[in-house]
Amino acid sequence: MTRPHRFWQKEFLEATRSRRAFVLKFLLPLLLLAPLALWAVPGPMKAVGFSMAVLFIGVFGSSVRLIHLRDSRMLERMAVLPIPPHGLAAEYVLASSLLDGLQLFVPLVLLIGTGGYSIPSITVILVAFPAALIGANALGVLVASLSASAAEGHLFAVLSVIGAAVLSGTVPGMGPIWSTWLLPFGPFSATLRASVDGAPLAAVPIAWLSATALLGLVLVLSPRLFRSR
Amino acid sequence: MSPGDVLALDGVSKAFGSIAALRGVTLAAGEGEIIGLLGGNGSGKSTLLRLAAGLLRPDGGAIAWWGQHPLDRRSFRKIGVLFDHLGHWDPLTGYENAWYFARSYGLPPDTVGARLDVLFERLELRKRQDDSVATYSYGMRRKLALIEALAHTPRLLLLDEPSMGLDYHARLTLYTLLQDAAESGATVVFASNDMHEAAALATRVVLLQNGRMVAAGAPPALIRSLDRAVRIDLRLTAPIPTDSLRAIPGVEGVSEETDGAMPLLRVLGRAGSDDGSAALLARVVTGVVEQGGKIGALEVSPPSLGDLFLQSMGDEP
Repeated sequence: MTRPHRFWQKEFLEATRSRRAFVLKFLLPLLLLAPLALWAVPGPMKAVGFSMAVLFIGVFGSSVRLIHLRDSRMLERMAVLPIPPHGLAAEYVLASSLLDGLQLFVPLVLLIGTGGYSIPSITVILVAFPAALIGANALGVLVASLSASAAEGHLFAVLSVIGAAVLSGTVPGMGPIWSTWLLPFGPFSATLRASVDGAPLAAVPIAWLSATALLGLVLVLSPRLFRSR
Repeated sequence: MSPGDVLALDGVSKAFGSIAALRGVTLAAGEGEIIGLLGGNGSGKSTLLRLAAGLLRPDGGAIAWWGQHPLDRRSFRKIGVLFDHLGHWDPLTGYENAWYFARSYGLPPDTVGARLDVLFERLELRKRQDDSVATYSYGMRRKLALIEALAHTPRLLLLDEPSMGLDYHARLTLYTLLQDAAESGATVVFASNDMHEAAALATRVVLLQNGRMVAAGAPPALIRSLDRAVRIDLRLTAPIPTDSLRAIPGVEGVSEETDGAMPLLRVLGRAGSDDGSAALLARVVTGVVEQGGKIGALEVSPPSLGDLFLQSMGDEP
């Protein structure tokens, strides 16, 4: 694949083109998260650490990069292509989620392999994982579209990660119970925490519904993102 | 607006906060026209192009492409835009960048390949096409941006200072490419600060000042409008104050350049109907001498498009 014509192809090519980018995007998450999976710490702590990594990588990765693209006026360059803003935004979220998934997949496999999860739990984790990634990246795009500057973007990203972690129950004991299933990270982190039973399979459609709702909000706000400043 | 217009702006205004960038501009461009937008920095050229490209919404007035208002997104396939900034994916090669953008316009791979081969060759970027854009010079990035703007053979080209950063040979190639595009029926609207370029390339120029259109027409007609105008170039041995020169009857604009060993004082004036250009010349020379200036060389010539620009700048409030 040397001639990209879709946004996700271009993103993948960019991520793998330089050794530095490859190390930062693929080896660094592995180096940070593999010890978490392999060390003899309680399962819930591993789950919280990994769930927070999903949130951080998704929200910060999307928002910071998008704000950079906007500040360097690449979004303006994209806005004159015959692709509607919602199409560009959807491609961006899906491409970023795919890359994040590739970054986190090996550490996730290590976590599952060492966590003693049941087959239903593994199923829920694997099906809820993409929903959590799409939700985190969609949240990152929302952060970027509401930020007027890089500094604002960083602030909003921190607040969003904390808010999402609390509301989704990623940090145990915090946040209302009802919201655990309303954010796409809830079933994923709950299943990771509960080492045997995990979240019920019925939670997965809810996770996907909430991820789709966040993505829908991104699409609605996408003209604002690609508007010239 | 008429149905045959490729691009039509009708009383378009745009403000950024309290700054009025464009004030009631009306402009129509037909097939095969090359329109040059001229004006000083901040006169509204780039804003006009961004409005015409659909990147900004006007505060007042209307914009139509091919008679369609509001702007139809499908028409983006027929529009090529060159920005005043360098938007590329730096880790990718020049060819990959151009390929990505050209394919985004829905062209089949064979067509894109053939078109890019021609453009990379003509703009002399072929040897570096497989290098990362991060290694490109400013001029090479501009060439690549031009290739990206032209690759899908647009019917409307909106170019912000297209020759900026290009070497002389690339400029000539650019002019040929734009003239070829216009001959095939494409409409070209470009902003420029180069009066010679605008005079040579444009079938019509539009002069903007403080967001207002102050003159428009074919370059020869605009130059003829400078009736009895005279340009006097004086090479002085040392700079002098120029305020008093501006007060001389008949003098409409004074500019200074210090590019050579001797400062150049350029005076644009209008000869009186009764005393002619010789009297104006005498008044200017007297004025210079009275300011202590010593004249090393002197040239009197007919006006150019640049003089029209200088005159309009002289009228600036």
